[in-house]
Amino acid sequence: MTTIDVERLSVRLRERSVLSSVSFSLSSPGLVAVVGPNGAGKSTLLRAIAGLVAIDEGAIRIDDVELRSLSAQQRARAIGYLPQERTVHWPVAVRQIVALGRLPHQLPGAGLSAADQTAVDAAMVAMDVSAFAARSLLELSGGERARVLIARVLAQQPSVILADEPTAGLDPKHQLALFEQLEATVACGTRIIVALHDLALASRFAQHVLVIAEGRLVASGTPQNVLTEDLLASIFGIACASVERDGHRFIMPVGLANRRP
Amino acid sequence: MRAMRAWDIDRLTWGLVGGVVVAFVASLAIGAGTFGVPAGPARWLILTEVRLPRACFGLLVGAGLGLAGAVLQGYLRNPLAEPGVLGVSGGAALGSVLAIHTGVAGAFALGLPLAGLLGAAVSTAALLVIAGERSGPVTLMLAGVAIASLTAAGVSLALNLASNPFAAAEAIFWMMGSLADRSTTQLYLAGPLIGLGIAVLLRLGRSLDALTLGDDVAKTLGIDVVALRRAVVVGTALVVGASTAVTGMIGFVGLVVPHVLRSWTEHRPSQLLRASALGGAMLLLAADVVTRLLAPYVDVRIGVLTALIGAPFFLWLVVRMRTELTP
Repeated sequence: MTTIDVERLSVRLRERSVLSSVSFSLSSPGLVAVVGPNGAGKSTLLRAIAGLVAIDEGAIRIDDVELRSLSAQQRARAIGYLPQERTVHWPVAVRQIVALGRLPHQLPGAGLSAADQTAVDAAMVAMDVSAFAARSLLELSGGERARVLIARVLAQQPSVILADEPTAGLDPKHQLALFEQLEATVACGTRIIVALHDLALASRFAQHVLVIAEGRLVASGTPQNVLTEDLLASIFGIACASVERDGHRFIMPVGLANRRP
Repeated sequence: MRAMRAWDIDRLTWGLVGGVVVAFVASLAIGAGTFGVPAGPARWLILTEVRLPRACFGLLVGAGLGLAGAVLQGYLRNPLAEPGVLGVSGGAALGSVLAIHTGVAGAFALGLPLAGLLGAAVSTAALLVIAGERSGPVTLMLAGVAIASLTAAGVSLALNLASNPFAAAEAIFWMMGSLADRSTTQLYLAGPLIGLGIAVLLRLGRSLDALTLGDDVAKTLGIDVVALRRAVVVGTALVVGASTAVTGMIGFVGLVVPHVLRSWTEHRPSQLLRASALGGAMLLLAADVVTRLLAPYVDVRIGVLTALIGAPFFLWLVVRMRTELTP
Protein backbone atom coordinates (compact mmCIF):
# COMPACT_ATOMS: atom_id res chain seq x y z
CA MET A 1 0.00 0.00 0.00
CA THR A 2 1.11 3.54 -0.77
CA THR A 3 3.16 5.08 2.01
CA ILE A 4 2.79 8.68 3.06
CA ASP A 5 5.49 10.49 5.01
CA VAL A 6 4.81 13.92 6.39
CA GLU A 7 7.87 15.58 7.86
CA ARG A 8 7.78 18.73 9.99
CA LEU A 9 4.92 20.14 7.92
CA SER A 10 4.08 23.77 8.62
CA VAL A 11 1.41 25.75 6.82
CA ARG A 12 0.57 29.40 7.31
CA LEU A 13 -2.56 30.92 5.84
CA ARG A 14 -2.79 34.72 5.81
CA GLU A 15 0.00 35.06 8.37
CA ARG A 16 -1.76 32.65 10.74
CA SER A 17 -0.09 29.37 11.58
CA VAL A 18 -2.58 26.59 10.74
CA LEU A 19 -0.28 23.58 10.94
CA SER A 20 3.01 23.60 12.79
CA SER A 21 5.64 20.94 12.55
CA VAL A 22 3.32 18.01 11.91
CA SER A 23 5.17 14.74 11.33
CA PHE A 24 3.81 11.24 10.80
CA SER A 25 4.41 8.24 8.67
CA LEU A 26 1.74 5.95 7.24
CA SER A 27 2.94 2.62 5.95
CA SER A 28 0.80 -0.12 7.51
CA PRO A 29 -2.40 -0.99 5.65
CA GLY A 30 -5.81 0.26 6.73
CA LEU A 31 -8.07 3.27 6.77
CA VAL A 32 -6.65 6.43 8.35
CA ALA A 33 -8.87 8.89 10.22
CA VAL A 34 -7.91 12.45 11.11
CA VAL A 35 -9.87 13.73 14.10
CA GLY A 36 -9.78 16.97 16.03
CA PRO A 37 -11.98 19.87 17.10
CA ASN A 38 -13.31 22.46 14.63
CA GLY A 39 -10.51 24.64 13.27
CA ALA A 40 -7.79 22.23 14.41
CA GLY A 41 -6.28 22.00 10.94
CA LYS A 42 -7.71 18.68 9.68
CA SER A 43 -8.90 20.09 6.36
CA THR A 44 -5.67 22.02 5.88
CA LEU A 45 -3.68 18.82 6.42
CA LEU A 46 -5.69 17.05 3.70
CA ARG A 47 -5.43 20.08 1.43
CA ALA A 48 -1.66 20.22 1.92
CA ILE A 49 -1.31 16.56 0.94
CA ALA A 50 -3.60 17.20 -2.05
CA GLY A 51 -1.28 20.04 -3.13
CA LEU A 52 -3.96 22.71 -2.68
CA VAL A 53 -2.18 24.86 -0.10
CA ALA A 54 1.40 26.03 -0.19
CA ILE A 55 3.70 24.34 2.29
CA ASP A 56 5.83 26.76 4.30
CA GLU A 57 8.18 24.24 5.81
CA GLY A 58 8.68 20.52 5.78
CA ALA A 59 7.98 17.88 3.17
CA ILE A 60 5.33 15.41 2.06
CA ARG A 61 6.43 12.21 0.37
CA ILE A 62 4.15 9.73 -1.39
CA ASP A 63 5.89 6.37 -1.86
CA ASP A 64 9.18 8.16 -1.10
CA VAL A 65 8.61 10.68 -3.90
CA GLU A 66 8.53 14.31 -2.88
CA LEU A 67 5.07 15.76 -3.60
CA ARG A 68 6.59 18.96 -4.99
CA SER A 69 8.51 17.04 -7.65
CA LEU A 70 5.33 15.63 -9.23
CA SER A 71 3.72 17.31 -12.24
CA ALA A 72 0.07 18.34 -11.95
CA GLN A 73 -1.00 15.32 -13.98
CA GLN A 74 1.17 12.86 -12.04
CA ARG A 75 -0.28 14.22 -8.83
CA ALA A 76 -3.83 13.98 -10.20
CA ARG A 77 -3.25 10.31 -11.03
CA ALA A 78 -1.79 9.63 -7.59
CA ILE A 79 -4.10 11.61 -5.30
CA GLY A 80 -7.88 11.99 -5.34
CA TYR A 81 -9.48 14.68 -3.21
CA LEU A 82 -13.05 14.90 -1.99
CA PRO A 83 -13.79 18.31 -0.48
CA GLN A 84 -16.28 18.86 2.30
CA GLU A 85 -18.59 21.09 0.27
CA ARG A 86 -20.49 19.32 -2.48
CA THR A 87 -20.55 22.15 -4.97
CA VAL A 88 -21.76 21.35 -8.45
CA HIS A 89 -22.23 24.34 -10.70
CA TRP A 90 -24.26 22.96 -13.59
CA PRO A 91 -27.04 20.35 -13.71
CA VAL A 92 -24.74 17.85 -15.41
CA ALA A 93 -25.79 14.19 -15.65
CA VAL A 94 -24.48 11.88 -12.92
CA ARG A 95 -22.46 9.74 -15.30
CA GLN A 96 -20.69 12.80 -16.71
CA ILE A 97 -19.78 13.89 -13.19
CA VAL A 98 -18.30 10.48 -12.36
CA ALA A 99 -16.46 10.50 -15.71
CA LEU A 100 -14.66 13.73 -14.68
CA GLY A 101 -12.56 11.47 -12.47
CA ARG A 102 -10.98 10.10 -15.64
CA LEU A 103 -9.59 13.50 -16.75
CA PRO A 104 -6.07 12.82 -15.41
CA HIS A 105 -5.95 9.62 -17.47
CA GLN A 106 -7.18 11.12 -20.74
CA LEU A 107 -5.08 12.70 -23.43
CA PRO A 108 -6.11 16.24 -24.38
CA GLY A 109 -8.90 16.10 -26.95
CA ALA A 110 -9.50 12.37 -26.47
CA GLY A 111 -12.80 11.01 -25.22
CA LEU A 112 -13.33 8.22 -22.72
CA SER A 113 -11.42 5.04 -23.62
CA ALA A 114 -12.80 1.56 -22.96
CA ALA A 115 -10.71 1.42 -19.77
CA ASP A 116 -12.14 4.79 -18.71
CA GLN A 117 -15.70 3.55 -19.32
CA THR A 118 -15.01 0.44 -17.24
CA ALA A 119 -13.61 2.50 -14.37
CA VAL A 120 -16.63 4.84 -14.47
CA ASP A 121 -19.10 1.93 -14.50
CA ALA A 122 -17.29 0.17 -11.65
CA ALA A 123 -17.24 3.33 -9.51
CA MET A 124 -20.95 3.89 -10.12
CA VAL A 125 -21.78 0.32 -9.17
CA ALA A 126 -19.59 0.55 -6.05
CA MET A 127 -21.43 3.65 -4.82
CA ASP A 128 -24.83 2.35 -5.97
CA VAL A 129 -25.56 5.32 -8.23
CA SER A 130 -25.97 3.53 -11.58
CA ALA A 131 -29.74 3.98 -11.35
CA PHE A 132 -29.36 7.78 -11.61
CA ALA A 133 -26.76 7.72 -14.41
CA ALA A 134 -28.73 10.01 -16.72
CA ARG A 135 -30.23 12.28 -14.08
CA SER A 136 -28.92 15.70 -13.14
CA LEU A 137 -26.95 15.83 -9.93
CA LEU A 138 -29.01 18.80 -8.75
CA GLU A 139 -32.18 16.66 -8.75
CA LEU A 140 -30.72 14.18 -6.27
CA SER A 141 -30.96 14.21 -2.48
CA GLY A 142 -27.95 15.25 -0.40
CA GLY A 143 -27.04 11.65 0.34
CA GLU A 144 -27.31 10.57 -3.29
CA ARG A 145 -25.23 13.53 -4.34
CA ALA A 146 -22.52 12.65 -1.81
CA ARG A 147 -22.36 9.13 -3.19
CA VAL A 148 -22.03 10.38 -6.77
CA LEU A 149 -19.13 12.63 -5.78
CA ILE A 150 -17.40 9.75 -4.01
CA ALA A 151 -17.92 7.65 -7.14
CA ARG A 152 -16.10 10.44 -9.03
CA VAL A 153 -13.04 10.00 -6.78
CA LEU A 154 -13.20 6.20 -7.10
CA ALA A 155 -13.31 6.51 -10.91
CA GLN A 156 -10.09 8.51 -10.70
CA GLN A 157 -8.41 5.32 -9.36
CA PRO A 158 -5.74 7.20 -7.43
CA SER A 159 -3.39 5.43 -5.03
CA VAL A 160 -4.34 7.92 -2.30
CA ILE A 161 -7.84 9.24 -1.54
CA LEU A 162 -8.27 12.22 0.77
CA ALA A 163 -11.87 12.67 1.92
CA ASP A 164 -12.94 15.62 4.04
CA GLU A 165 -16.02 14.75 6.11
CA PRO A 166 -17.45 12.38 3.49
CA THR A 167 -20.35 11.32 5.74
CA ALA A 168 -21.63 14.83 6.50
CA GLY A 169 -25.35 14.91 5.77
CA LEU A 170 -25.67 11.16 5.22
CA ASP A 171 -28.19 9.02 7.10
CA PRO A 172 -26.76 6.25 9.35
CA LYS A 173 -27.30 3.54 6.76
CA HIS A 174 -25.44 5.44 4.07
CA GLN A 175 -22.69 6.43 6.52
CA LEU A 176 -22.06 2.76 7.27
CA ALA A 177 -22.41 1.76 3.61
CA LEU A 178 -19.91 4.45 2.64
CA PHE A 179 -17.35 3.27 5.19
CA GLU A 180 -17.79 -0.35 4.13
CA GLN A 181 -17.11 0.78 0.57
CA LEU A 182 -14.06 2.73 1.73
CA GLU A 183 -12.85 -0.38 3.58
CA ALA A 184 -13.28 -2.41 0.38
CA THR A 185 -11.32 0.22 -1.54
CA VAL A 186 -8.57 0.12 1.09
CA ALA A 187 -8.54 -3.67 0.79
CA CYS A 188 -7.82 -3.22 -2.94
CA GLY A 189 -4.68 -1.28 -2.05
CA THR A 190 -5.80 2.36 -2.01
CA ARG A 191 -4.55 4.53 0.84
CA ILE A 192 -7.53 6.45 2.24
CA ILE A 193 -7.32 9.31 4.73
CA VAL A 194 -10.61 10.62 6.07
CA ALA A 195 -11.13 13.75 8.16
CA LEU A 196 -13.93 12.95 10.57
CA HIS A 197 -15.93 14.46 13.40
CA ASP A 198 -17.76 11.24 14.15
CA LEU A 199 -15.65 9.46 16.77
CA ALA A 200 -17.85 6.34 16.62
CA LEU A 201 -17.10 5.90 12.91
CA ALA A 202 -13.42 6.73 13.45
CA SER A 203 -13.07 4.17 16.24
CA ARG A 204 -15.05 1.53 14.35
CA PHE A 205 -13.47 1.76 10.91
CA ALA A 206 -10.01 3.34 11.18
CA GLN A 207 -6.88 1.29 11.75
CA HIS A 208 -4.87 4.43 12.32
CA VAL A 209 -5.99 7.68 13.93
CA LEU A 210 -4.24 11.05 13.75
CA VAL A 211 -5.43 13.50 16.41
CA ILE A 212 -4.88 17.17 15.56
CA ALA A 213 -5.46 20.10 17.86
CA GLU A 214 -4.50 23.73 17.31
CA GLY A 215 -2.40 22.85 14.31
CA ARG A 216 -0.29 20.24 16.03
CA LEU A 217 -0.30 16.48 15.87
CA VAL A 218 -1.28 15.40 19.37
CA ALA A 219 -1.44 11.66 18.93
CA SER A 220 -0.97 9.07 16.22
CA GLY A 221 -1.67 5.35 16.39
CA THR A 222 -4.41 2.74 16.60
CA PRO A 223 -7.83 3.88 17.84
CA GLN A 224 -7.43 1.75 20.99
CA ASN A 225 -4.19 3.47 21.91
CA VAL A 226 -5.09 6.96 20.82
CA LEU A 227 -8.78 7.57 21.50
CA THR A 228 -8.52 7.34 25.26
CA GLU A 229 -10.90 8.99 27.69
CA ASP A 230 -8.19 11.32 28.98
CA LEU A 231 -7.14 12.46 25.53
CA LEU A 232 -10.71 13.04 24.36
CA ALA A 233 -11.44 15.00 27.53
CA SER A 234 -8.40 17.22 27.10
CA ILE A 235 -8.65 17.72 23.31
CA PHE A 236 -12.40 17.81 22.70
CA GLY A 237 -13.56 18.65 26.23
CA ILE A 238 -15.98 15.73 26.19
CA ALA A 239 -16.63 12.65 28.28
CA CYS A 240 -16.89 9.45 26.25
CA ALA A 241 -18.11 5.94 26.74
CA SER A 242 -16.60 3.01 24.92
CA VAL A 243 -18.86 0.25 23.61
CA GLU A 244 -17.64 -3.15 22.42
CA ARG A 245 -19.73 -5.01 19.86
CA ASP A 246 -18.82 -7.85 17.49
CA GLY A 247 -15.14 -7.29 18.21
CA HIS A 248 -15.31 -3.59 17.30
CA ARG A 249 -14.88 -0.71 19.67
CA PHE A 250 -17.08 2.37 19.40
CA ILE A 251 -16.50 5.70 21.11
CA MET A 252 -19.70 7.47 22.12
CA PRO A 253 -19.62 11.05 23.43
CA VAL A 254 -21.88 11.19 26.48
CA GLY A 255 -21.41 14.71 27.81
CA LEU A 256 -19.14 17.69 28.24
CA ALA A 257 -16.03 16.85 30.24
CA ASN A 258 -16.55 19.40 33.00
CA ARG A 259 -20.16 18.28 33.55
CA ARG A 260 -19.26 14.65 33.74
CA PRO A 261 -21.83 12.71 35.81
CA MET B 1 -35.17 16.88 -17.26
CA ARG B 2 -34.74 14.94 -20.47
CA ALA B 3 -31.55 12.95 -20.81
CA MET B 4 -29.59 13.71 -23.96
CA ARG B 5 -27.49 11.22 -25.84
CA ALA B 6 -24.29 11.68 -27.78
CA TRP B 7 -25.98 11.46 -31.15
CA ASP B 8 -28.28 14.30 -30.13
CA ILE B 9 -25.23 16.52 -29.70
CA ASP B 10 -23.88 15.42 -33.10
CA ARG B 11 -27.24 16.15 -34.64
CA LEU B 12 -27.30 19.56 -32.96
CA THR B 13 -23.81 20.33 -34.30
CA TRP B 14 -24.72 19.39 -37.87
CA GLY B 15 -27.98 21.31 -37.60
CA LEU B 16 -26.08 24.39 -36.51
CA VAL B 17 -23.46 23.94 -39.26
CA GLY B 18 -26.33 23.78 -41.77
CA GLY B 19 -27.86 26.92 -40.26
CA VAL B 20 -24.54 28.78 -40.48
CA VAL B 21 -24.09 27.79 -44.15
CA VAL B 22 -27.64 28.92 -45.02
CA ALA B 23 -27.20 32.22 -43.15
CA PHE B 24 -23.79 32.81 -44.77
CA VAL B 25 -25.17 32.22 -48.28
CA ALA B 26 -28.16 34.43 -47.48
CA SER B 27 -25.75 37.11 -46.30
CA LEU B 28 -23.96 36.97 -49.68
CA ALA B 29 -27.20 36.82 -51.68
CA ILE B 30 -29.31 39.46 -49.97
CA GLY B 31 -28.45 43.11 -50.29
CA ALA B 32 -29.99 46.17 -48.71
CA GLY B 33 -33.61 45.62 -49.67
CA THR B 34 -32.73 43.49 -52.70
CA PHE B 35 -32.51 39.77 -53.30
CA GLY B 36 -29.65 38.48 -55.42
CA VAL B 37 -26.69 40.46 -56.68
CA PRO B 38 -27.59 43.36 -58.97
CA ALA B 39 -26.44 42.85 -62.56
CA GLY B 40 -23.87 45.19 -64.00
CA PRO B 41 -20.14 45.80 -64.10
CA ALA B 42 -19.96 46.27 -60.32
CA ARG B 43 -21.53 42.89 -59.65
CA TRP B 44 -18.31 41.06 -58.77
CA LEU B 45 -17.03 44.02 -56.82
CA ILE B 46 -20.21 44.17 -54.70
CA LEU B 47 -19.92 40.50 -53.93
CA THR B 48 -16.21 40.40 -53.02
CA GLU B 49 -15.63 43.86 -51.61
CA VAL B 50 -18.94 44.57 -49.87
CA ARG B 51 -20.87 41.45 -49.05
CA LEU B 52 -18.07 38.93 -48.52
CA PRO B 53 -16.24 40.92 -45.82
CA ARG B 54 -19.58 41.64 -44.19
CA ALA B 55 -20.56 37.94 -44.19
CA CYS B 56 -17.08 36.98 -42.93
CA PHE B 57 -17.41 39.47 -40.09
CA GLY B 58 -20.86 38.08 -39.27
CA LEU B 59 -19.36 34.60 -39.14
CA LEU B 60 -16.25 35.48 -37.12
CA VAL B 61 -17.75 38.03 -34.73
CA GLY B 62 -20.86 35.92 -34.11
CA ALA B 63 -18.82 32.77 -33.51
CA GLY B 64 -16.39 34.67 -31.28
CA LEU B 65 -19.10 36.31 -29.16
CA GLY B 66 -21.09 33.08 -28.75
CA LEU B 67 -17.95 31.17 -27.81
CA ALA B 68 -16.60 33.86 -25.46
CA GLY B 69 -19.99 33.95 -23.71
CA ALA B 70 -19.97 30.16 -23.25
CA VAL B 71 -16.37 30.18 -21.98
CA LEU B 72 -17.00 33.02 -19.52
CA GLN B 73 -20.21 31.46 -18.21
CA GLY B 74 -18.33 28.20 -17.72
CA TYR B 75 -15.26 29.80 -16.17
CA LEU B 76 -17.14 32.19 -13.88
CA ARG B 77 -19.83 29.53 -13.30
CA ASN B 78 -22.34 32.29 -13.70
CA PRO B 79 -25.13 32.07 -16.27
CA LEU B 80 -25.30 35.89 -16.40
CA ALA B 81 -21.73 36.30 -17.62
CA GLU B 82 -21.35 37.70 -21.14
CA PRO B 83 -18.38 38.81 -23.24
CA GLY B 84 -18.59 42.38 -21.92
CA VAL B 85 -18.14 41.29 -18.31
CA LEU B 86 -14.34 41.56 -18.39
CA GLY B 87 -14.52 45.19 -19.52
CA VAL B 88 -12.67 44.48 -22.78
CA SER B 89 -15.50 45.61 -25.04
CA GLY B 90 -15.82 48.74 -22.88
CA GLY B 91 -12.11 49.41 -23.40
CA ALA B 92 -12.43 48.92 -27.15
CA ALA B 93 -15.47 51.21 -27.24
CA LEU B 94 -13.66 53.91 -25.28
CA GLY B 95 -10.65 53.69 -27.60
CA SER B 96 -12.87 54.01 -30.66
CA VAL B 97 -14.99 56.84 -29.27
CA LEU B 98 -11.82 58.75 -28.33
CA ALA B 99 -10.56 58.19 -31.88
CA ILE B 100 -13.79 59.72 -33.22
CA HIS B 101 -13.60 62.51 -30.63
CA THR B 102 -10.00 63.45 -31.41
CA GLY B 103 -10.29 63.05 -35.16
CA VAL B 104 -7.86 60.12 -35.32
CA ALA B 105 -10.68 58.04 -36.82
CA GLY B 106 -10.90 60.31 -39.81
CA ALA B 107 -7.15 60.82 -40.20
CA PHE B 108 -6.43 57.41 -41.74
CA ALA B 109 -8.42 54.36 -42.78
CA LEU B 110 -7.57 52.05 -39.90
CA GLY B 111 -7.55 54.79 -37.24
CA LEU B 112 -10.85 53.69 -35.71
CA PRO B 113 -10.21 49.94 -35.40
CA LEU B 114 -6.61 50.45 -34.27
CA ALA B 115 -7.75 52.83 -31.53
CA GLY B 116 -10.34 50.23 -30.52
CA LEU B 117 -7.70 47.50 -30.37
CA LEU B 118 -5.47 49.76 -28.30
CA GLY B 119 -8.36 50.43 -25.90
CA ALA B 120 -9.05 46.70 -25.61
CA ALA B 121 -5.36 45.96 -24.95
CA VAL B 122 -5.09 48.66 -22.28
CA SER B 123 -8.25 47.49 -20.50
CA THR B 124 -7.06 43.85 -20.62
CA ALA B 125 -3.69 44.81 -19.15
CA ALA B 126 -5.46 46.80 -16.45
CA LEU B 127 -7.71 43.81 -15.72
CA LEU B 128 -4.76 41.47 -15.28
CA VAL B 129 -2.90 43.95 -13.07
CA ILE B 130 -5.92 44.75 -10.88
CA ALA B 131 -7.16 41.16 -10.52
CA GLY B 132 -3.67 39.77 -9.97
CA GLU B 133 -2.26 36.49 -11.20
CA ARG B 134 -3.74 34.04 -8.73
CA SER B 135 -7.07 35.44 -7.63
CA GLY B 136 -10.30 33.55 -8.25
CA PRO B 137 -13.11 34.09 -10.75
CA VAL B 138 -15.06 36.46 -8.48
CA THR B 139 -12.14 38.91 -8.23
CA LEU B 140 -11.70 38.74 -12.00
CA MET B 141 -15.38 39.48 -12.58
CA LEU B 142 -15.42 42.36 -10.06
CA ALA B 143 -12.31 43.88 -11.64
CA GLY B 144 -13.94 43.48 -15.07
CA VAL B 145 -17.16 45.14 -13.93
CA ALA B 146 -15.15 48.02 -12.42
CA ILE B 147 -13.24 48.51 -15.68
CA ALA B 148 -16.46 48.29 -17.71
CA SER B 149 -18.02 51.00 -15.51
CA LEU B 150 -14.94 53.18 -15.79
CA THR B 151 -14.78 52.88 -19.58
CA ALA B 152 -18.54 53.57 -19.82
CA ALA B 153 -17.95 56.74 -17.77
CA GLY B 154 -15.10 57.65 -20.13
CA VAL B 155 -17.37 57.15 -23.16
CA SER B 156 -20.04 59.36 -21.54
CA LEU B 157 -17.44 62.03 -20.83
CA ALA B 158 -16.19 61.95 -24.43
CA LEU B 159 -19.79 62.30 -25.70
CA ASN B 160 -20.43 65.05 -23.15
CA LEU B 161 -17.43 67.03 -24.30
CA ALA B 162 -17.98 66.38 -28.03
CA SER B 163 -17.11 69.48 -30.03
CA ASN B 164 -20.21 69.21 -32.19
CA PRO B 165 -23.41 67.13 -32.23
CA PHE B 166 -22.30 65.32 -35.39
CA ALA B 167 -19.24 63.84 -33.67
CA ALA B 168 -21.40 62.71 -30.75
CA ALA B 169 -23.99 61.20 -33.10
CA GLU B 170 -21.24 59.42 -35.06
CA ALA B 171 -19.86 57.91 -31.87
CA ILE B 172 -23.31 56.85 -30.66
CA PHE B 173 -24.14 55.23 -34.01
CA TRP B 174 -20.79 53.50 -34.05
CA MET B 175 -21.38 52.05 -30.59
CA MET B 176 -24.72 50.57 -31.62
CA GLY B 177 -22.79 48.09 -33.70
CA SER B 178 -22.89 47.33 -37.38
CA LEU B 179 -21.41 44.95 -39.90
CA ALA B 180 -22.15 47.31 -42.80
CA ASP B 181 -19.43 48.90 -44.92
CA ARG B 182 -16.56 46.98 -43.37
CA SER B 183 -13.58 46.75 -45.73
CA THR B 184 -11.42 43.76 -46.56
CA THR B 185 -8.53 45.67 -44.96
CA GLN B 186 -10.43 45.72 -41.67
CA LEU B 187 -11.08 42.02 -42.13
CA TYR B 188 -7.35 41.38 -42.58
CA LEU B 189 -6.68 43.39 -39.43
CA ALA B 190 -9.31 41.94 -37.10
CA GLY B 191 -9.98 38.52 -38.68
CA PRO B 192 -6.73 36.81 -37.62
CA LEU B 193 -7.02 38.22 -34.08
CA ILE B 194 -10.60 36.94 -33.71
CA GLY B 195 -9.59 33.60 -35.25
CA LEU B 196 -6.67 33.27 -32.84
CA GLY B 197 -8.93 34.08 -29.90
CA ILE B 198 -11.45 31.45 -31.06
CA ALA B 199 -8.65 28.87 -31.33
CA VAL B 200 -7.48 29.68 -27.77
CA LEU B 201 -11.00 29.47 -26.31
CA LEU B 202 -12.04 26.27 -28.13
CA ARG B 203 -9.28 24.36 -26.33
CA LEU B 204 -10.60 25.08 -22.84
CA GLY B 205 -13.48 22.58 -22.76
CA ARG B 206 -11.80 19.95 -20.56
CA SER B 207 -10.71 22.48 -17.97
CA LEU B 208 -14.15 24.10 -17.86
CA ASP B 209 -15.77 20.68 -17.36
CA ALA B 210 -13.48 20.07 -14.38
CA LEU B 211 -14.45 23.46 -12.90
CA THR B 212 -18.04 22.18 -12.62
CA LEU B 213 -16.93 20.61 -9.33
CA GLY B 214 -15.18 23.76 -8.10
CA ASP B 215 -11.62 25.08 -8.26
CA ASP B 216 -10.16 22.69 -5.69
CA VAL B 217 -11.40 19.54 -7.37
CA ALA B 218 -10.34 20.90 -10.77
CA LYS B 219 -6.80 21.44 -9.42
CA THR B 220 -6.66 17.91 -8.03
CA LEU B 221 -7.78 16.63 -11.45
CA GLY B 222 -4.59 18.15 -12.86
CA ILE B 223 -6.04 21.40 -14.24
CA ASP B 224 -3.69 24.39 -14.08
CA VAL B 225 -6.25 27.01 -13.05
CA VAL B 226 -3.76 29.88 -13.36
CA ALA B 227 -3.01 28.98 -16.98
CA LEU B 228 -6.73 28.47 -17.58
CA ARG B 229 -7.54 31.94 -16.32
CA ARG B 230 -4.84 33.48 -18.47
CA ALA B 231 -6.21 31.66 -21.54
CA VAL B 232 -9.76 32.78 -20.72
CA VAL B 233 -8.70 36.43 -20.42
CA VAL B 234 -6.38 36.45 -23.46
CA GLY B 235 -8.80 34.50 -25.69
CA THR B 236 -11.74 36.70 -24.70
CA ALA B 237 -9.68 39.86 -25.12
CA LEU B 238 -8.62 38.84 -28.64
CA VAL B 239 -12.15 37.92 -29.71
CA VAL B 240 -14.08 40.71 -28.01
CA GLY B 241 -11.43 43.41 -28.42
CA ALA B 242 -10.97 42.80 -32.15
CA SER B 243 -14.73 42.39 -32.72
CA THR B 244 -15.72 45.53 -30.86
CA ALA B 245 -12.93 47.55 -32.46
CA VAL B 246 -14.36 46.82 -35.91
CA THR B 247 -18.10 46.30 -35.45
CA GLY B 248 -18.95 48.30 -32.32
CA MET B 249 -20.93 46.93 -29.40
CA ILE B 250 -23.04 43.90 -30.29
CA GLY B 251 -24.82 42.72 -27.19
CA PHE B 252 -26.85 39.70 -26.13
CA VAL B 253 -25.31 37.24 -28.63
CA GLY B 254 -22.77 36.06 -26.05
CA LEU B 255 -25.39 35.95 -23.31
CA VAL B 256 -28.36 34.36 -25.03
CA VAL B 257 -26.74 31.82 -27.36
CA PRO B 258 -25.01 29.72 -24.64
CA HIS B 259 -28.22 29.87 -22.59
CA VAL B 260 -30.37 28.52 -25.38
CA LEU B 261 -27.93 25.75 -26.25
CA ARG B 262 -27.01 24.72 -22.71
CA SER B 263 -29.81 22.22 -22.17
CA TRP B 264 -29.11 20.76 -25.63
CA THR B 265 -25.51 20.04 -24.70
CA GLU B 266 -26.20 18.19 -21.45
CA HIS B 267 -25.16 21.35 -19.54
CA ARG B 268 -21.55 20.31 -20.12
CA PRO B 269 -19.31 23.36 -20.59
CA SER B 270 -17.05 21.49 -23.04
CA GLN B 271 -19.94 20.52 -25.31
CA LEU B 272 -21.33 24.04 -25.19
CA LEU B 273 -18.25 25.72 -26.71
CA ARG B 274 -18.46 24.52 -30.30
CA ALA B 275 -22.26 24.73 -30.31
CA SER B 276 -22.21 28.33 -29.01
CA ALA B 277 -19.65 29.36 -31.63
CA LEU B 278 -21.86 27.95 -34.39
CA GLY B 279 -25.05 29.33 -32.81
CA GLY B 280 -23.50 32.79 -32.41
CA ALA B 281 -22.36 32.84 -36.03
CA MET B 282 -25.82 31.74 -37.23
CA LEU B 283 -27.62 34.31 -35.07
CA LEU B 284 -25.42 37.25 -36.07
CA LEU B 285 -25.46 36.40 -39.80
CA ALA B 286 -29.26 36.05 -39.67
CA ALA B 287 -29.68 39.27 -37.69
CA ASP B 288 -27.49 41.09 -40.22
CA VAL B 289 -29.64 39.79 -43.08
CA VAL B 290 -32.73 41.06 -41.24
CA THR B 291 -31.20 44.55 -40.87
CA ARG B 292 -30.66 44.57 -44.64
CA LEU B 293 -34.22 43.46 -45.36
CA LEU B 294 -35.47 46.22 -43.06
CA ALA B 295 -33.07 48.80 -44.57
CA PRO B 296 -35.46 50.27 -47.17
CA TYR B 297 -38.00 50.97 -44.43
CA VAL B 298 -35.97 51.62 -41.32
CA ASP B 299 -32.21 51.71 -40.61
CA VAL B 300 -31.84 49.44 -37.59
CA ARG B 301 -28.32 48.80 -36.29
CA ILE B 302 -27.46 45.17 -35.68
CA GLY B 303 -26.53 45.80 -32.04
CA VAL B 304 -29.98 47.28 -31.50
CA LEU B 305 -31.61 44.36 -33.29
CA THR B 306 -29.75 41.69 -31.28
CA ALA B 307 -30.76 43.51 -28.09
CA LEU B 308 -34.37 43.76 -29.32
CA ILE B 309 -34.46 40.02 -30.01
CA GLY B 310 -32.22 39.04 -27.12
CA ALA B 311 -33.75 40.93 -24.21
CA PRO B 312 -37.33 39.57 -24.51
CA PHE B 313 -35.92 36.12 -25.14
CA PHE B 314 -33.80 36.43 -22.06
CA LEU B 315 -36.85 37.51 -20.06
CA TRP B 316 -38.64 34.41 -21.28
CA LEU B 317 -35.69 32.28 -20.13
CA VAL B 318 -35.71 33.92 -16.71
CA VAL B 319 -39.44 33.24 -16.32
CA ARG B 320 -38.92 29.64 -17.39
CA MET B 321 -36.01 29.23 -14.97
CA ARG B 322 -38.16 30.71 -12.21
CA THR B 323 -40.90 28.14 -12.74
CA GLU B 324 -38.31 25.34 -12.97
CA LEU B 325 -36.50 26.35 -9.82
CA THR B 326 -39.55 27.14 -7.68
CA PRO B 327 -40.34 24.10 -5.56
